[in-house]
Amino acid sequence: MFLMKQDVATWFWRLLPGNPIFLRVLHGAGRRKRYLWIRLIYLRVLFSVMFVALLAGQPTRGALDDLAKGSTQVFRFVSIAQLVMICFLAPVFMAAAITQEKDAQTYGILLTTPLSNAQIVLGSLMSRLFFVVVLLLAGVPILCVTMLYGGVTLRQILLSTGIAATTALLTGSLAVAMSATRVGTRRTIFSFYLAVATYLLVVGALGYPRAFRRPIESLRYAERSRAIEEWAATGPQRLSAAQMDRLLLIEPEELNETAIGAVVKDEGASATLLKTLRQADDIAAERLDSDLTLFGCRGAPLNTEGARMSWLAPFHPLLALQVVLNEVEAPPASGGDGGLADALLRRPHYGYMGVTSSVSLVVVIFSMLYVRRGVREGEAGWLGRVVADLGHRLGRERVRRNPRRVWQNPIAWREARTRASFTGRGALRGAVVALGLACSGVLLAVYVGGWGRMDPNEIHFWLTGLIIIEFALILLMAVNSAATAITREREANTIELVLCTPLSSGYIVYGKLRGLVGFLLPLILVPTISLLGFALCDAVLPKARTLVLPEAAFELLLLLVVYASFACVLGLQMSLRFRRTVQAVAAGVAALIGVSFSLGACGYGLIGISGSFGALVAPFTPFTAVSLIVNPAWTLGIDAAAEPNTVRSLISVGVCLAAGFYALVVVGMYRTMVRNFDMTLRKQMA
Amino acid sequence: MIVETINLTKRYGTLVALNNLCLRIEEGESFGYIGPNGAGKTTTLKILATLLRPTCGEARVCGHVVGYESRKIRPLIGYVPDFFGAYEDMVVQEYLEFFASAYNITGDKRTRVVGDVLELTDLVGRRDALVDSLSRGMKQRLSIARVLLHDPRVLLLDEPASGLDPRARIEIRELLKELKRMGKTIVISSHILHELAELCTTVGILEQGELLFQGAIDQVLRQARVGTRLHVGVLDQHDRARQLLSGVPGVREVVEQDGRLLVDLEEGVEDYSFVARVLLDGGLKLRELRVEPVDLETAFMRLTKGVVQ
Repeated sequence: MFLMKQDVATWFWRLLPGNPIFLRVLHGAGRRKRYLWIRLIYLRVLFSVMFVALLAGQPTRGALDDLAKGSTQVFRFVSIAQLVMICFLAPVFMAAAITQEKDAQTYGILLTTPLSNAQIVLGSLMSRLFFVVVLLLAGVPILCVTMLYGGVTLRQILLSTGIAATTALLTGSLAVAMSATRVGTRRTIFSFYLAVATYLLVVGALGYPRAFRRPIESLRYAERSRAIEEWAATGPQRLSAAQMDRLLLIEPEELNETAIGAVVKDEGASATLLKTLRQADDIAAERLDSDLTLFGCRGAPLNTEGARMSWLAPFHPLLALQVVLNEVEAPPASGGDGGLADALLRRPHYGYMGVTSSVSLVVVIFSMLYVRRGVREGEAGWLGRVVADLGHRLGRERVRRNPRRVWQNPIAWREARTRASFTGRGALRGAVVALGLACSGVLLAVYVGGWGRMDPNEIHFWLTGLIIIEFALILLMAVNSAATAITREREANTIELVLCTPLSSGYIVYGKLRGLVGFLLPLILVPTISLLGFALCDAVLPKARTLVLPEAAFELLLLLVVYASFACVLGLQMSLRFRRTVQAVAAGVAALIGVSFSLGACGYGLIGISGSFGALVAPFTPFTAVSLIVNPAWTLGIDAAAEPNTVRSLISVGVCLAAGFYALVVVGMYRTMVRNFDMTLRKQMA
Repeated sequence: MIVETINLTKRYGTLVALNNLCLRIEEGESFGYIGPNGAGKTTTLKILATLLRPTCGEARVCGHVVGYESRKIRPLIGYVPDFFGAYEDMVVQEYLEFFASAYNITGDKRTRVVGDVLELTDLVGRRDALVDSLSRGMKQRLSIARVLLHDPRVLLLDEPASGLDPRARIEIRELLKELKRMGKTIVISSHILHELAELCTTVGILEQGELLFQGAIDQVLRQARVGTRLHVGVLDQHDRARQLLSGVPGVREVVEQDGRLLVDLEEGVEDYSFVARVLLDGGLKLRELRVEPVDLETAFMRLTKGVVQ
């Protein structure tokens, strides 16, 4: 009996704490400076965010409740920053699971040892997770500082850390599953990473309570616009655009016959118009309370800004975190029998942790069952067999195809063409292009056909959100592709072949940049075509208001090209500096997020100073620039409608100046790269 | 002199990979570069290929100094490393056109040159095959095709036959013989010494970063020949046979190995009939008596200590 207990204890010990794979990574990582630097940079970022938040939310009176509000604000910033970093960096850490064993060719050797399936899978998972957990634990004391002045509870801190930890757990489980089933290759790391980023961006945008929610003023504006159009169509007099604008801007408490009479100059018309406008205001108030976006949670109360929790909250870390931060409220308990859906919505933060943990458990169990039963070395998996069979039926062998024409610049050709092949990256690009065009096509159809009772302002918001998401994906794909441009050559042992040729450093770097931008061009054209479609509709079809400015498509194209080039050069620099793909991608993404976040915060801050100044300066900051071009009224504030021509001119000037500035930055970074290229590569080879 | 190194030294931190290497290779020579693992052969080839810079000393290729005139050297050399670097999703023709373009071979000339090298390396039938799908031997032929595109004067080949099956090795060897007939200067490092002996006119033996010998093959064989070694086999009483032979004048050493005796004769002893006489007079039954041939492999084993860096 005693021996049996000892065997069981030994089995559990060797399953995880004494797992050889886990211990190998622990012993090795403990001695590596790289991980110490990563922790230091992570903590430095959290400290910086805390510092910025403290400065931004200076208490006015120094009273205790002000201090509590201030520390709540700081906690909000720091916990969001922590979660964003974990969400975008965890997949990069975990993606190493996919290739590390394959690169070292130790996976096959592991499978021949007496190590059980559970030991192999759990060892691989926990060794990757270890780094992320250490990062989270290192951040806990910083979060606890926010408790000093009250307003933040330990429960909130633990919940926010728990949400980040379970996110990392799910990402790790998926990565280990890909490794165990041998689906993962170096090519799929990029797809895996981008799939995670796309899910977080798209679902987060759809469920973000304020994304497509407008304050009461906007709802009122929309309802009054519709009411005035209907009144003008059937009523006694037509109204000019200037009269309409004045009517829209009358405050509800000042809405009376005198105010309307000052605009329309007709007593009879004033009376009917007053009734129409008051009805419109009532409808707006009702809509605020009952109107749901597609993703709003029925029963969840509105907060002070008219936003409510989304039913997507249990499935997205940032949406769940908003409930922890008390930005939105979960719906109260329903009177019925509850059920799983009810439980998930009432406590979305616990729900998220439960869902991710459960999915992780299922994925891990699947990996354990599959790891020795899966694809054998060198054999095609089921997907490979299906593709091969299809190719055979179509008369095309998988290992042969017609040669393509190589460009004058072979480096550019390599980046633009062969990396955009049908598998992996090329398929992903195609999917993003197709999806983007489909979504904007649907929006355009709704706009033209007037379906779904969506008013133009709402369509405009959806369009803005869509283009911002596309822009984020473009930047991510740019930095990812660029960050792997040189590291992949190193790993595939082709860099030496290229360095032996007469191609100069400048030629190679220029070729890479040109090829990368060429690869991204179809993606860049998607939002441009979307805007062009809407601008053409506004020009051709009779509409009361212009949704998209005619010059917006060209301004957007110009900015997207320079921003994408900037992201490419940033990624290329990381690819040159770091030896391994995973390191380069992590550094590139972190740099991109840092730059975007900092510039974005500056941009929104500048817009707040003055609409006109913001119109000129905002194009210098990536996401505010896109938002400004697509939807200047929403970005600058509704008073932009008062001076449309001035604002338009300032935006155009700002876009041209920003494009020139970023072009100079790209050229400067390119020149620095060319100077260091040769020396850096040869030093790394030595 | 097409390739020359003068006191070439390369250090990686505290490790001295090359120590005052002085190498001289004439145009048109086929130079075999041999040495134990870690001797510094790959480092030498990489320096000549302008991938590495010397720590001190000088290396010249076609009269140009490595490190200072590297751009002038690159169009004149073709480097085949000891691994095959593959671009994913490229077919054979694209792979060659890619490198042809890198060497600024454009238009009709590019098409013609690619066709010629495909024919020379017998890869015409695989021009539309994915590079990743080729066997190892074909990949090696493709590597050689790649370096022939721009018609270089010097070919630097780092273990081109490594990991190949016998048929593939023969094909590579025949290809290299053809290149030699075309007048190319070939510098080839390899561990398959008997093939080097067939192909090369001169050899250099490197150990621990130092050049132990450079010269024609027959010279290295002469240098390694310190005396004749006989393989002697008797039916029984091996110990008695050893004792009988150990004390005989003209015999330097007797060692038993794998059931036979290895008898090293003194230098200068050419008539070894006395060995048979001693054994027969001793009443032993002689089963085998033959001279061990001194080939490049034996010479290499005798000249090097076998120390790995």
